[in-house]
Amino acid sequence: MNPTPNAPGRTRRGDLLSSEELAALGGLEVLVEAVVEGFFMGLHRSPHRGFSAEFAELRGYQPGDEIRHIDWRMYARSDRFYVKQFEDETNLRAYILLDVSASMGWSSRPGSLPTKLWYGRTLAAALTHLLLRQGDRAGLALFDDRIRGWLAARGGRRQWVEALRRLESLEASGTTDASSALKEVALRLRRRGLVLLISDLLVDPEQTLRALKFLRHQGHQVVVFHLFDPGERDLTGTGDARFRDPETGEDLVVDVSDVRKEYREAVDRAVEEWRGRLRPAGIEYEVLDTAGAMGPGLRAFLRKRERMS
Amino acid sequence: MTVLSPLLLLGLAALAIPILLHLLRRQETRSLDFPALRYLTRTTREQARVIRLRQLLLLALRMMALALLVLAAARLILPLGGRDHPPAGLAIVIDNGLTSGAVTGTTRVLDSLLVRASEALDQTGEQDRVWIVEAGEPGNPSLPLTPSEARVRLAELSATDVAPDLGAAVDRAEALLEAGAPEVREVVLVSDLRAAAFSDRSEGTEARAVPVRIAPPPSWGGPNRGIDQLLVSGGLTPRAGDAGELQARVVGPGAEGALVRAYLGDALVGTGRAGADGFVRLPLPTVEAGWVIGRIEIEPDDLRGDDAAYFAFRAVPPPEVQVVGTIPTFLEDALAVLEDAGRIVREGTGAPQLRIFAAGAEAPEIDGTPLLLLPPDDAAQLPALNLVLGRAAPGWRLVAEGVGEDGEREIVGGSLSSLLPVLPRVRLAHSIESGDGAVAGTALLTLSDGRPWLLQLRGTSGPVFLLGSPLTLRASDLPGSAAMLPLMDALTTIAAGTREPAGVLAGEPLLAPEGARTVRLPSGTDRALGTRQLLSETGSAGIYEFLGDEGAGVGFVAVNASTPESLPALEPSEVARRLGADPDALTGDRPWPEAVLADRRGREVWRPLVAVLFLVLLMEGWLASYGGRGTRVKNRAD
Repeated sequence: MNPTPNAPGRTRRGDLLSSEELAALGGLEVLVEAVVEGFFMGLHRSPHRGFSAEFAELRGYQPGDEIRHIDWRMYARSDRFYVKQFEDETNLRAYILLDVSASMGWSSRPGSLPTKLWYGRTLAAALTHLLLRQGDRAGLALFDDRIRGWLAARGGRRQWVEALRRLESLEASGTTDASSALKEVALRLRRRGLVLLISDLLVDPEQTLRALKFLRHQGHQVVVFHLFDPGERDLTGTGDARFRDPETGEDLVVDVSDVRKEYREAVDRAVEEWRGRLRPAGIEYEVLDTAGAMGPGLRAFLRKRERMS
Repeated sequence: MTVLSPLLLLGLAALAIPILLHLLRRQETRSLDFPALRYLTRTTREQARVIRLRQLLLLALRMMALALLVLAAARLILPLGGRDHPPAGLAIVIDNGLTSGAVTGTTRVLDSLLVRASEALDQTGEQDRVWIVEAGEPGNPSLPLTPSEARVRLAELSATDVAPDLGAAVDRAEALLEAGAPEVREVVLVSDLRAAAFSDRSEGTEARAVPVRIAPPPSWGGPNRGIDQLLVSGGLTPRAGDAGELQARVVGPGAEGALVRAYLGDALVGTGRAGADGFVRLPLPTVEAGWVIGRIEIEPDDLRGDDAAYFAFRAVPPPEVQVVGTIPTFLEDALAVLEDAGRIVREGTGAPQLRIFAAGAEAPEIDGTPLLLLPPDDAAQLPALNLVLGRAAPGWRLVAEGVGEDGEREIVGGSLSSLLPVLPRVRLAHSIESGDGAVAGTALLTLSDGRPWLLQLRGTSGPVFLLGSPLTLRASDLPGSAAMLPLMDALTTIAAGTREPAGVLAGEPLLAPEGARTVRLPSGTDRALGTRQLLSETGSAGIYEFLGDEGAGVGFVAVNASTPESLPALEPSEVARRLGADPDALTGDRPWPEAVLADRRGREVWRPLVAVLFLVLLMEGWLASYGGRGTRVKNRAD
């Protein structure tokens, strides 16, 4: 693991680094490695156990089985070949849906705080890495008001390289219509799997909820990562300002001092509404601060994955 | 409610600052991208009324803070008791005229008035300006003083023998305040409010812009006995070598039988008692050529100022009168009567002292002899008269346009009008006109339309008297009236250079005789005369002696107290009516002297204002920061 830029001489887990610290580590692959490795280190100390890598049973060796799966200890005791049988991890197909609309390209502190898109891309890469590492199949869907990029769910090293290539070349543009993208994803997914939606959810809530429930109805497990830039949760500054929506071009002049408290309450209410309507439908909902670490997102994924095991 | 520093109220214009800032900030607001606009839109939609109310409250609090700051700085005064007031101009009209010299018991009226004035000054501060307007000496200048200087000035005042015109004095006080006083102005009238002090001309005047306060008048014993009138030989002062008569009238309680004494110089020359009508006649002994100075007195009472009357005239030999041309019959008769009475001499052996020129005659010689020009009854002879007039008094001429068929005019004014027992009516009068370079002239008689009717011109070599009408009954009533003799006697006397100003009353300006450089007042004080030869310091009755270069005597003038102020005091409401003042403002409901500046006095409240300002700022700060508080979004992933 790489040392953190602001704490020379010490090593810190990548999944606990703030996004600002993480961004300083370098390219996407490097920092994803740091995040995932750090995440695994944390797991050893946590009550959680392995997921699909968990040993299930032994069965007799049959021709064609991988030699590396032979349990050599059992062979020593019994003089017969047994191979380790794991959970059917390879049956899991996970699709990561990443919002790449214009709103995702915003940062409240440009130059110091990464954009929501950077955070979502890094999170998506980390999740992909986790899925592939445990033998699952991972796919990728990039959308704004429709699917902009599609990578079918596969496993293996090649899938990782392709996913990285797709994620590294992302640029935010267009308006968000998560419901259309979700419907399109639903049509493309023929087998039950895991759908991980990463978005700032600046979308039409009703239609998006309907699409998410539809996915759930089809038997998919769904996790929603709701990204918030800190500047979207707390209005900063004082006095009048003209706020412009980069997606719609609409604007509004507001005295920040007048609405600071009420705005925060409105955001709180929106979060609670999402949570209150997703949870009953069995959809995991996680709010992520783009100034924070990746760990919470990964743990949410882990929780969901454990329930699916 | 008022302020001590009104200029600072301009700071109230700063109330526009919050509004302007609000508008300017709206126009030049910063613009930024904000994806979560939907939450903001929802917030403003839901909170529109609250936000609007909060903004209005903030605006109101900020404007209130500014207003409080400005009012505190301007030193606001509220009517909550106390004696604070803005810088004020206070004009104290003090009636130090004739009746202020009255003594009741051991107290002089003026002293009581000075106490009132001092009490009014007690209501002022050093930031105020005070004008002392002396109604009894209207010629004295009135300058802005500090209250302490005003006290000194009051201490120097003395009672004069002037019959004050308090209406005029209040007018003057108002004009002084309007010209130089701060915004807060008030006139304080300190007087015994004798009825005679409020002339008729003050009645019915419009309400005054400056409040008038009347000090309660001190009581004194009036009405009063005094000498109302004094005439020497009916107005025709005796010629040198002749005896004369002093005619006087005593008025007031106890006038009948009042003992009257006559003095020539300091010598008692006669006594007598007034009759039932108050009149008394006292013999004047034969006078020698030269100045004759004297007085009459009655027994003194509370008011001494009107217990004596003075006279001064110069006794001269009868002047010689020369007639050129044919004069009207009535004039001829009048001259004959005057000659028979020894008032004039006709065709004497010496140089004439008055030459009467009738139009139509051969032009007289212009040799310095005073000339009386009689207009012709026939307008065709006017050019010839104007030729003589042009030589004797260049720049003047008679124009045949005057009173004719359109009506009559009355002789109403001029310095000789007081001598005439009747005021004749005029039916025909030429216009007396002057052109460029006209010599100076004085109107001795004027018509009711304001035009001069008898002029004394300063001719090239001597005085010229010019009449506006022929001395015929067709032109005027004068020839056949009782005024004819006094008028001709006056003209011959003036021509002889002996006529002194008649009817000079205390307080009236006095034109000094030619050649006078200084005047010796009745008090014995000498005053230098200015270039205008006009003496305004005539408050004291008595004999004024005019001196020429190196102290040579030039002449004497008797100045007498005016009509005794025997009328009772007026009620303040009546005074208010006569002064044109608001009766409520005049009397008010406060006792003296609290009524002075009462409308503008109060308690300065800058401390409470600052305290309220502090509270307002606290409220503003709390309300302004209200939007900055609140709970953070709970991040469950943290």
